[in-house]
Amino acid sequence: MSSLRKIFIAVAALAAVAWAPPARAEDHRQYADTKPEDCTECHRGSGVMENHGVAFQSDHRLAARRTPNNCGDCHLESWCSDCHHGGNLDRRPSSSLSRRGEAMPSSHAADAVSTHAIKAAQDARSCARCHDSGRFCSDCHAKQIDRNRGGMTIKPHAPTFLGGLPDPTWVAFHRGEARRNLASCQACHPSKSDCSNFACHPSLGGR
Amino acid sequence: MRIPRMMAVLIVALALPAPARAGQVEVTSSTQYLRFADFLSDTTDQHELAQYLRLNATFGEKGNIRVQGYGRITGQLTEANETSNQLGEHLYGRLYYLSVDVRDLVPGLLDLKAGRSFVGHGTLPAIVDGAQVALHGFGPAGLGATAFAGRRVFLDNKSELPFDDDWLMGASASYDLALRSRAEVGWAREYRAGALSREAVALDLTTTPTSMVSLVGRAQWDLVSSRASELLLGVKVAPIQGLVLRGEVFQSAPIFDRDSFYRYFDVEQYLQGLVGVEYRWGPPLRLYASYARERFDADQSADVIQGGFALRPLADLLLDVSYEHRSGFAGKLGGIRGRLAYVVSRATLSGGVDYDDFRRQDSRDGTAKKYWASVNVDISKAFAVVVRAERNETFLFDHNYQGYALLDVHL
Repeated sequence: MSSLRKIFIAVAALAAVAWAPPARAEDHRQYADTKPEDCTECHRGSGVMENHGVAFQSDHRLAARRTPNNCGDCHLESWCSDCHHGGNLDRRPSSSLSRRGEAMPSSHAADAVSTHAIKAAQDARSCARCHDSGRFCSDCHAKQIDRNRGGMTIKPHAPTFLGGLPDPTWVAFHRGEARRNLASCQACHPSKSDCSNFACHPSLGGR
Repeated sequence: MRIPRMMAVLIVALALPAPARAGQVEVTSSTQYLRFADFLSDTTDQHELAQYLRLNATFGEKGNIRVQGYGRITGQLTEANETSNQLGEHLYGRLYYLSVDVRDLVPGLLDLKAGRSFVGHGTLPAIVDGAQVALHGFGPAGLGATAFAGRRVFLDNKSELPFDDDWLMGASASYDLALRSRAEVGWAREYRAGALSREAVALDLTTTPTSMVSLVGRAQWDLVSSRASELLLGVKVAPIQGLVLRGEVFQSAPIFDRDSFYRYFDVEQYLQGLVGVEYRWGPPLRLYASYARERFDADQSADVIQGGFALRPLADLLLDVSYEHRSGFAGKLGGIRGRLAYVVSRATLSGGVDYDDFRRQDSRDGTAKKYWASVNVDISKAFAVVVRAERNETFLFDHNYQGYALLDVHL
């Protein structure tokens, strides 16, 4: 059974368990100044699981998607903007500035420019939550290519040919790399013309 | 609405005399000088001035009307190789949000939010200039629905990108169930340059049957490529006070616009399994550790180990240390980060060190170091001064310095 099907079955089972009448989140505005570690004073035995722990940095998107949610009872929208869109009002002292002077969240390690190639492989979708992948990546990569293509220091992947045809070894390598992380290809090659210059993939649509 | 016009609205709103505003009004201003390093500009050391303004006002007898705004103007003092949307010579503006939120516009039935705001529901989160409505109190108890539509806003490179005829709309319906459970279905559609660009539906389920167990499930389906784009199943167990164990399986696939050439490739999905533990012993100590196994196509995988602790030996002293080690596909990364914060009277002194050893697959490697220190002095309830300095040693620079000095005013 594919992992996809297993997860769908598990989600459906969860739905079946949960199906019956309600319980609603309380208004938390009066607790806005409370430290998260003090929340357990009320929540102990209340049936609500502790949150705002270490994992909340990755989990909070699920809570924030809920409608209605009670994030706004304690946080202004700028609390979100400053991490997701480079603001520097609700700043964290440990946050560095990007090359454009925008504050970066803690998910960006020291030398984020060099390490992002490793971090982005983990789940490229997490990058896309703040960066429009089609534009943000190609904007910077295009500048670097114009300025110093050699300075990109990425894995060499230019096509090689045997007797006028693509080298089968290169084709296999190219296919494998694309299947593992296709979004990273888009960072430097945002459009079809980057690939169709050498008559590959001639029949595919799109730009 | 263009940025200058929206910024003007924000400034006018701030300039209104107090009696006209009534209710509770909070205004925050931050004037900042920033220095940072840009490896893509001829002038590496960049200098900038920034002015932030934030408004948060509530009106109405029940405080049910809320006006919120947040924006900034930056002035670049040095030359940079950028082509941003400028307000003037070396002047950039960005309006993060400016909206009016009316709870119970139709009492007990309908809430309205209009203006520029982040929309998190409806499967395609984004900032939009538009309107959102939330319906509640109709049908069975616990049933709710939302809908939104508007012009999509892209914040990029200190300003926002020019409007590209990009529109977003969506809706969601939720139902609160027994056992602190909830089901929510969302849908969203995006048009770019007048043509359908992205469309997705999602189902979210959560349940906390007891304070010891919580389950979460999420499935998102991309209608453009007709495939699952995100699947998540997670469980948290709290067997004793302060201890939380968690497990998670997450699968995702990259999503491309409908007009993109890339959407025609049937790429494999990313799969991640994670187990973690967190222990909190009151305020003085928090310990955590996790292990994740990542799987990519063609038998490629990676292992990620994370751990750390936060220790508060005194009420005013915090030591926070974290460690991460990743090896496998795409490269190897090992890093340790430490942070110390101490409160002395009205001042908070903070400092830290980051140390990251990285080896990208078949390309660059090295050791990045970051040392930083910050002083935050609350001069009074209304005024605060912050100074921060940082030294970096990276692959691109033997060393460089960045930081800022700023004045916050709370009214």
